[in-house]
Amino acid sequence: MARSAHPAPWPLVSLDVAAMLASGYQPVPFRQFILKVHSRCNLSCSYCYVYEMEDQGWRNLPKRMSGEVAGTAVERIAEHVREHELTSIEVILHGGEPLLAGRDWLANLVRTLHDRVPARLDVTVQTNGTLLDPPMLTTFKELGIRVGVSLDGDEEATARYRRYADGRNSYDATTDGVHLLDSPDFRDCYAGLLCTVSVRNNPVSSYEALLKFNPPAIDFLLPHANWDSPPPDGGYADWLIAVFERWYNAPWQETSIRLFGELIQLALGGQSGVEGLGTAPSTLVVIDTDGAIKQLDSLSSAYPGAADTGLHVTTSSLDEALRHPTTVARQMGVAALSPDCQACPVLDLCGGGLYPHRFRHGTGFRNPSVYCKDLLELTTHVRDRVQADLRRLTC
Amino acid sequence: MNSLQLADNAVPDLREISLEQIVALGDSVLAHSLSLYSERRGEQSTSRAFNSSI
Repeated sequence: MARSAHPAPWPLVSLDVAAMLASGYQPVPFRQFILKVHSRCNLSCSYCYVYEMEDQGWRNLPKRMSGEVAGTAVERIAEHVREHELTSIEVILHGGEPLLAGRDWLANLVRTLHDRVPARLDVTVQTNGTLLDPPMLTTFKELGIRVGVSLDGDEEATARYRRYADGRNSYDATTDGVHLLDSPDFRDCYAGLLCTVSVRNNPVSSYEALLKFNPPAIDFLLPHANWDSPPPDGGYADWLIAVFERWYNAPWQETSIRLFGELIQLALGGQSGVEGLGTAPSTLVVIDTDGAIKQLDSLSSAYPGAADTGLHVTTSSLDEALRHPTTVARQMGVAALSPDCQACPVLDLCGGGLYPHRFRHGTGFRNPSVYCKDLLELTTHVRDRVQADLRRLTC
Repeated sequence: MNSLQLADNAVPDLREISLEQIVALGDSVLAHSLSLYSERRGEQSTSRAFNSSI
């Protein structure tokens, strides 16, 4: 594809959504609504896609979502649920650090969601864990809010990137919160741990450090990178395969690991339930702190404004975002992928990788993932391992 | 022989696994995975998880 002055000509210039709609293309309704309730964070993690990468738009956002914007966002979600007769949705409270919004503010928002949205509602909050305390968790328990915590392994691993602005390691404050979540009073609220991979940390030690907190689930995220800003290190497949083997060979399933669990589902011929694996349509939309309707916010790692749709909850329905070229690109499956991906033997498993990781300035998002080599190695390893076990079972 | 309820695109080896064989896998990752596969069969295929949360 020729380079263009536009950072992402595909899909933003050349994907003809109107023609697709005219020929019968039907968007898939959103089912996951990410509310960026607070735009600031009390940590200063050096790899954060919100603050430390290309898009510095957070500087212009209000610190906390206003009550008016929150109310309008709830009404837009309710409208979308009614319009598409959805029976269940998921709302994710995100930031920045969402707990900075305050316990009462969050409780009021979630009560309003339950009052106004005519569907089963699963609410989760993704936090750095440093502000979790018994009153906060008591409120979450009363409202059925589940909590995911970001943590990269042991104290040394966490110190590498997850620090306060003054340089202090966040590990102790985070793990105090995680211990509370794991206590009998609040265990029902514990969704799991989210770990960003650093190949400089030992893979098995990092996994075993997380296991000590008895997480119901763990996921491992690749650091956000793209062809213009490639990951500084290599060896992600080796790192992940080491964790996979440790997890898969345990005599019992010690926890679920979303990345590996979903890859196994794909290897069995089933479907993935997570973005960035497989080719199922993405159904998430983001409402930013100022009420802007956005694409997945990790697109901030690509270029300034990459997550923007130009839509706002006060003037636009969420259905309008369904027709945005980036949404369509994230829902159209194999047709959104590069020719190389479409010819790849692990296409059905990898699915081209996470959308932001495909970016290259001047061509856009119709490229293989910058992690293509690692994804090929990992997906092949998992598929071959599972299929070999299945064959042994049936011999 | 009882067997897994399969999607059309299931890998061929799955078709030959009995429920008894799955039970014999105990509490392993593979047993959990086969159970989840069976539960999800027939569900609408959309990605449900936001990468930046768990």
